[in-house]
Amino acid sequence: MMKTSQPDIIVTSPDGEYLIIVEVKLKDISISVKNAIEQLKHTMASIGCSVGLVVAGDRVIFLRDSLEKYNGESIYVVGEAKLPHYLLPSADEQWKGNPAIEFESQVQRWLEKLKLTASMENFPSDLRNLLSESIMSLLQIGEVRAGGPRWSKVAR
Amino acid sequence: MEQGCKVKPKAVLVETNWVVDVIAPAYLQSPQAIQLLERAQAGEFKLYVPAICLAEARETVPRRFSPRSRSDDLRKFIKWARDEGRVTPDEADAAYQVFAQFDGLVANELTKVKVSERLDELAKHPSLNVFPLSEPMLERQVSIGAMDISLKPFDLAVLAAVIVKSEELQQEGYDWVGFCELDSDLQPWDKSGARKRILYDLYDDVRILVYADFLLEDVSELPESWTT
Repeated sequence: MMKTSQPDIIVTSPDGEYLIIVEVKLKDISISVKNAIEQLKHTMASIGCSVGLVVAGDRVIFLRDSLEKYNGESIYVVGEAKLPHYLLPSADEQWKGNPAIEFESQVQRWLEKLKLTASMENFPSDLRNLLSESIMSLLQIGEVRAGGPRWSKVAR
Repeated sequence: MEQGCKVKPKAVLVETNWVVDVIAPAYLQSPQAIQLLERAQAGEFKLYVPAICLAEARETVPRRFSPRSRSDDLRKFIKWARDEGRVTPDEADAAYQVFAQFDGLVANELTKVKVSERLDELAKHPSLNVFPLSEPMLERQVSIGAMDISLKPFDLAVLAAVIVKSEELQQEGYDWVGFCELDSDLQPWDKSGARKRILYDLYDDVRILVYADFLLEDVSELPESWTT
């Protein structure tokens, strides 16, 4: 049985409902992305979240659960797009020196910025189409947070 | 204390979010919250909740689970789609039947009486230990309130309750306890994943490991200070 892991980034409603969960991988490596997708599907089903994103290097993959079946069987990949590095803000200073955590922090800041500006003006068209209204509206009503303590990952 | 191997707590504390997820209308219940209770029932650990969390859940459930939009908008859409020939009359009838069921279920499941019944049932569950706020907990609430920590009064009460309960459990022989805490105000990390120092120390001093969900995963390492 696959273990459910803590998502790297979460977007939660004011009531604490999971709106989006995000799995972040520093590099776009085929096997690692495949595992990340399976991991995300499992976590989405376990915590009852119907929207997930995998960010692996410069690749964003959007997953959705149509909720037609149980246990994540109705989770499917909606599509994917490139996430150019120039769109990512710098990482939080405290995570400098740990590339994986730095990248997580950059992705989180990108989502926070997206929420604040609600603008995809300078986004490539494939990314704009992928995120479209569904992700943007969830970002608008939710709060973007780390999925758990990052210091423990640094300690490991 | 075990280090370098997988460990789980033998005593677990939960708060209002767990109660809410367990007594939610059936189709909105959280499977992992229910599983936590089942695991306690199977003897994997003892489960504890402050009584004040049951009181808070009574107010939270109807508010949190009321549908964001009644079915009126969907009904209007189906009426329009049927008139425009976008759905067949049979499809429209089936949709109206589903809406009627949904509205009935929501109206029934979220009444105060129904919520109270489910809360009473949960409070009597043999695998759940509901504990009241004691005098030491109220005193601790005052002392924590004097720290530089911005918490709402209710969160302060829950924090004091779990801290004192953890101390009591250690006196009963538990090495450490787990606390499944979904309320970000009471989690010892901020939104960037960094430590909230005061809160972290409060939990650390009484050997509470905070989990961000109800999955209660194995941990491979416990804080060094807990080894003595």
